[in-house]
Parts: sequence; structure tokens; C-alpha cells
Amino acid sequence: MSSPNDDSITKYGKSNRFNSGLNNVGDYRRRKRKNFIKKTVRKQRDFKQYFFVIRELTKREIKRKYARSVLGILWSVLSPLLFMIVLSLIFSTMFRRSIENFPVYYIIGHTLWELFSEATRGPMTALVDNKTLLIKSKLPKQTFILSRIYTAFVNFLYTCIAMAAVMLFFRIQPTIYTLLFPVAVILCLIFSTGVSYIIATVYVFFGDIKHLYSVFLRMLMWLSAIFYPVERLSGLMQRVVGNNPVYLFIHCSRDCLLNGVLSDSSVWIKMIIWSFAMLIIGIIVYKRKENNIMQRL
Amino acid sequence: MFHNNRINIISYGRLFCLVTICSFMTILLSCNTVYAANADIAFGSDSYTANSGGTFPIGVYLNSNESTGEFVVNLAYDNKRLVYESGASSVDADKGVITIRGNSISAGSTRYWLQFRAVSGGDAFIKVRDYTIKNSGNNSNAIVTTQSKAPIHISGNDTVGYDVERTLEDTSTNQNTSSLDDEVDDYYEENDESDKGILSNVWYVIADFMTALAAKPVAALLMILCIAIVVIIVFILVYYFKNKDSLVGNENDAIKSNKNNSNRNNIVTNIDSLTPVPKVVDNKRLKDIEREGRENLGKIVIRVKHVTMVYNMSGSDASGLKEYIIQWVKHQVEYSKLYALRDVSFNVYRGEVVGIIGSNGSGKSTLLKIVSGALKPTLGNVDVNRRKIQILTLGTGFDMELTARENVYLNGAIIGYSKEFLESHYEEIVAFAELEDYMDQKVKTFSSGMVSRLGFAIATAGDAAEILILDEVLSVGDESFKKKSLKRIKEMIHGGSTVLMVSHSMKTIIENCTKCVWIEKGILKMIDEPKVVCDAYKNYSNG
Repeated sequence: MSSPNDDSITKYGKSNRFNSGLNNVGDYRRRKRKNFIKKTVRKQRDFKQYFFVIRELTKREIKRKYARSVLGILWSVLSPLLFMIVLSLIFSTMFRRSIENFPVYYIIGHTLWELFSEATRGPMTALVDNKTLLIKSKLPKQTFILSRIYTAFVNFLYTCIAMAAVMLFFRIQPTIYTLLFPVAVILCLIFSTGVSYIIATVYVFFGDIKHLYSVFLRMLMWLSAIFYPVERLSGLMQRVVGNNPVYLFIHCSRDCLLNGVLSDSSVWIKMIIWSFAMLIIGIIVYKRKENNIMQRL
Repeated sequence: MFHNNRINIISYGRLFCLVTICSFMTILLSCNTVYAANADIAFGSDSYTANSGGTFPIGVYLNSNESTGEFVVNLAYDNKRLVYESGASSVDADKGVITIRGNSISAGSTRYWLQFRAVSGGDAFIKVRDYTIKNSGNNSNAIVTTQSKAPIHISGNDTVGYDVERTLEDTSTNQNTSSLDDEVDDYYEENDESDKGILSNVWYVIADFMTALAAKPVAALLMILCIAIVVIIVFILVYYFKNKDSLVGNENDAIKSNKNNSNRNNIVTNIDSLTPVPKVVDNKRLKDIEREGRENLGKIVIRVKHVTMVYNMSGSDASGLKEYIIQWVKHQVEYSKLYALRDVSFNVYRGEVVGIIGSNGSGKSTLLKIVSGALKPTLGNVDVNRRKIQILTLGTGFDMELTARENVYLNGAIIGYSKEFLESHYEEIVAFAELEDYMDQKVKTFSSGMVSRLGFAIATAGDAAEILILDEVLSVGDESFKKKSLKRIKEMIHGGSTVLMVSHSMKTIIENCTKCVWIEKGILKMIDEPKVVCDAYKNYSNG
């Protein structure tokens, strides 16, 4: 982060000026305050610019994704609905006894799963895809990773429309715990950010990780109990699934939206630990390899 | 140019890191918090009706999502109006308690048919009094939900005359209040206050805490987990900060040996001794140029100080991740080193136009990347205010699937223009690129000349940046546009911009630059008047 905002020359200039004329303490303080205000304004402007870039990049991603389709972004709403219908046709009778409301059960799982997989698969290639822009841009390189995550989030908001529609259709009553759903989503995003930092870094050095990760994602999907009741699994598998972070997010969301109960405290603790530990590890991995990434690109 | 090195030390730090991660995963897996078996005790229906004198069955369902361990379920019933006949494990007719017990409930639903005979009319009941269902393995309890009670309406003459349930409850609560536990508690409280003092209190608290933990293995495991995570985080942070000051990587032995040595000059001489740099630059001449620059132009804008750039060309591309991890643990990752730049230093003064020449692959673009801050040099540094830099490169960063208009906004944002700026200058950009009629078409339909014109227009739209880096941009488009862009650049230079430009065209360099830097194979060969350097370069490439 430090290198692009290197101000060494300006600092130099300031100190010279200070030495030459302005020995007055009051002057110095006023100058200091002025500098502080200037810096804050600049920071604000930087942040605004940062967000503007992320939004523009996201716009591009979404436009690209639906470049050739007529319905465009509407597919984000339609595809989970179609998936839900297909899977409900097959599985809802199979799991009638253990899942009360299969379509809702499924669509919540599907939505959260898509959020996670999009928010990690996209950023994985972000650095390599934007090679040329990376060199041009004075912004920190994470912008490109973050913009892909933001893209996944925007997509997720659209899928939420589908989810809300299904919940209305099945007359699921909102409870006070529904308000906790965004918290679960934010934790999921934090977790995804950590994962993205790691795999985006690894992808720069090992292209193979793309294929490996898709296999890994498939495995994780089966371990996330998206369309089957976790109670049907054997004891060991239940434990594995119970510690799968993605399942935790899904489970928590289901508790918030479908069951209207507060999840177990152990679920919350695990979620928080997973997401923040992953974020910290991700940032450390990325920071350590940042310079090597630029060399490699 | 290439330099192989291999260090073969098993890194205990890294090994420890892996082991910690593995044990962390094991703890996570062994932590059985969410899933106990879910069991459920229910009666077949919400209420029953019977005739006085008749027999009837009541179904008790034990449902479980997986097979459980031992279980005991006690049912209380109205022993005045009902006579139990069969179906359960044991019965205490005097107290009105039926017990169902067994070694396991298999997954799914198990039904017990209890046969009763009604002996009196009135409202009777049957309810779940208490239960214990263990998980398979018998060491913890399953989660049980019950439907606790079912009323039974018996038609006929009520000979009992009172509510049996209420009397039962009364007696049972009476029994509870006089239980032994309270007496023990009282005893403890008295004792604590009287003679044992603070120390024993502490012990008491600790012992209490330990028993609480033993009673709740889940909480204990969670605690261990939290501690483990804290340890891991601390470890990682320590590891991170310890290694933060090492430069490119641990593999770099020359740097590693100098890690404790704070004097940068020493490191540079060390690199020099490693691979001696042929001194081509005439020091005296260099000093003359420096002095001229200082006198004429004053302030230094870019100060490139002893920049050395080493690329680690890793040879491990082909081999798999597993190999890499093993090598990583053993500190054995093999790199060959490519010196892209070797101890390059020069100053650029305000208002100068500096051309950089050199054959392909000689490190020109690496130098530009370092100056612009995209890369960090292995050794040495560059003093420059990176906020004031603007880089112009050709046709990069356009998205072919988007329209030209969208690309203007995207590219502008990345270069660093704000939204307001782009909105107000949009027309200007389009006019300069002469692409008014094409802005809503996808860029993939554009010719390469059109793309580069648009790129140039966007990049130069802003107020002249103080430092301009041009990477081969002065050969854009047709002749008329070339003139136009040259004019724009000259305006910028006139407006006080300092320019650093890379070009292969000697003509452009000689015409536009005030100073020229020649880099060959990473080594700074010459800094002088453009004409002198270009002549020397021409001689070199011909000869």
C-alpha cells in the first residue's frame, strides 16, 4: 500500500520551507493543521475514486457476462428459480419428511453458495486478466480483486429478488431474526475475500490452480448440504459438514430466514473465526507476494 | 546474467506452520458441537377418547435422525382412571409412571403400543415426565424435542372426582424443594464465608470452572479452538513481521547475508562484487550534466538511486503443487536469476524531456514500471511523487466487448479521473480522437488506429500531469493524428510537465528530448545529449 502513495519528494520540500522561513511555532501549527485537512480531503477523494473504479469495473464485468444474452441481468434472477424448480421436482418428495419446505430450503442454500463460488472464482483470475490495467493504474492492485467480489455481491442482490419471491410465494413469515441475514452475508463476503486473496495470488504462479479449484469447489458444494438434509449423513460426515464454512453460512441463513430462530452460538463463533482468520491469512499471503506478483505478470 | 543458487535447509518455521494448520483442522473436525442426534418423543395423536370400561392403545413414537445410544423415557399417566396393561418395559402403578427403556433407537421412527383400560370416566392424561436419550457411544445426550402431554377424554361416570394430574404435580414439586442439593449448597456457602479465606475461594472458583468445563466438553473444545487460533494468528504475525524487512525473498542469498547490514551502499557494492558491472558511464561527463541540470532547471523530480532489479525466474513451473510444497518446506525452491537492471542511477530535473533507448529486453519497461511504482526494485529506490505521474501506453486496457463510451469511463477511472471530470470532458476526448460517430459501437469493431487514438485521447485528457511517462505512444495513428498528438505532448511539456519517454525511433528522441539515457542489458551505458547517445547507440547496434 505504501509504495503508490509515496510522498517523499513533497515531504522534502515542506521541511526545507519550514527551515528557511517559518520558525514561528504558530505558523508551524497552522501549516500542520492545513496539511492535515488537505490530507483528509485527499483521502476522501481517493476513497471516492477507489469506489468509482470498483463500480466501473463491476459494470464492465456484468456487461461482459451478459454481453450476448437478451435478458441480461435478469438471468441472475431466473437461473436460481429454474434450478429450484428442477431440484424441487426431483428431491422434494425424497426429503419430504426431514425438510419442511424444500424449495425455500434449496434456494437459500443455492443463493449463498453462488455468492461464495462467484466471489472466489471471479477474483482468482482478476490479476491475470487485468494485467495491462494493473501496470497503468496507480490504485492498489487489490482493487481488481475487490471489484470481482463486488460483482458477485451485485449478482447476489439480484438472486435475492428470486429468493424473496419464493419466500413470499410459500408465505414464510419474517421474524426478528431475519435481520441477522445480512450479518451472515457480510461474514460470507469477508470469508470469500480471504479465500480470493489467496487463490488470486496462487493463480499468478500456478495456472493449474484454476482446474484444481473447480474440483475443490465441487467437493465443497457437495459438503454444503444445499439440497439434502444434513441429518441424513453419517456421524463423521455430519461433523465435516458442520465445520464447512460455506455450510455454516448457509445453515445460519436458513435459521434466520426459514426457521426464524437464532442459530447456535457455536455456529456464530465458527463463522466469525473462519471468516476473520481467512481474511487475515489472505491479506498476509497477498502482501508477502505482492511484489512477486508484479514481477510475474 | 543467470545465476543459480540452491539452499538446502529444512525450515522449522515453515514445518511448524504446516503442522499447526493440520492440527487446527483436526481440532475443527473433532469438535462435535452442532450435531448431536435429534430425537423426538411424541404421542400418536394430540388427544384420545375412550369409553369407561374399554381398552384402547396409545402409540408412543420415538423418532430419531440417527441411531442413538441408551434411552429411558418415563411417562406419567392418570393411574386412578387408567389401568396400564402392556407395552412398556416396566411400570410403577402406584406412582403412575410407565418406563420405556432400551439400548438404542434406530434411525427413523420406533413405535411403542401401550395398552390401557379405562376404569372411570372424566378427563385423564398421559404425559412425558422425563427422559434421557444418549448419542450413540453413550457419552453425550441427544437433543430431544417432545410433545409432552396428551389429554384423554373418557366417557362415562367419573368415579374419581378430582384432577389427578394436579395432585401429582403438587406432590412432585413438594418433593423437589426439600431435595438434598440445596442443603449442600447452603453448607458450602456458610463454609466459604466462615473460615477458608480468599485463596480457597479462588480454588473453589477454579474447581467449579473445571467441573463446568468437564460437564460441557463442547465449550471446552471451543475454548481450545479459540486459543489455537489466537496462537496461530500471533505466530503468523510474528513470522510476518520478522520477514518483512527481507527484500525480495528468502531465496536471495546475496541479500540475505546483508540483511542485518543497514548500510545500503554496502549492499550495492556487494552485488557489484557478485557480478562486476562494466563502467561505461563517464563519471566526469555525468557530473557536468548533473551540474547543468541543477543550474538550468533546479528541482529534481525523479531521483533513481542505485536501482537493481532481479527477477527470480522460477524453474518450478512444470512440476506440481506437491513438489512445490515439499521444496518450500525444505527451502529448496530453485530459481535462476535474471538481472533486469543493475545499479542504475540518474536524476531527472523539472521540465526535462528524457528519452530512454536500448535494444529489446534491455530493461526499459522495467525501469518505467519501477518509476511508476508498479514494481518495487530489489535494491535501491526511486524518489518520486507517484501521485503526479501519468503513464501513457498504447492500446492497453480496452475491453473489446464494451462500447467506446463505456471504455472511456472505465479507462478514465483507472487512470484516476473522477466521475465529474469524465462527464465534463467526455466531448473533448471524443473530439480529439475524431470518433464522434463511433462511440456507441463495440471496440472490437474498431481498427487498431482508432483504438490507439482513443487511448491517446483519454490519457491526455487531464490537465498536464507533472510527470508524464510515454511508452512508445508517439507513433500513433495516421500522419495527421501523429502531428496532433505530438502537438499535444509538446503543449504538455510546455505546461511544465517532465517527460520520460521510451522510443525506438531515434528521430523522435533527437527532436523532442533534452537528455537521453541508454540502457543496455540492464546496465546504464550512457547519459548525455540525445544526439551523442543516439549516435553511440547506432554504432553499437550496427557493430
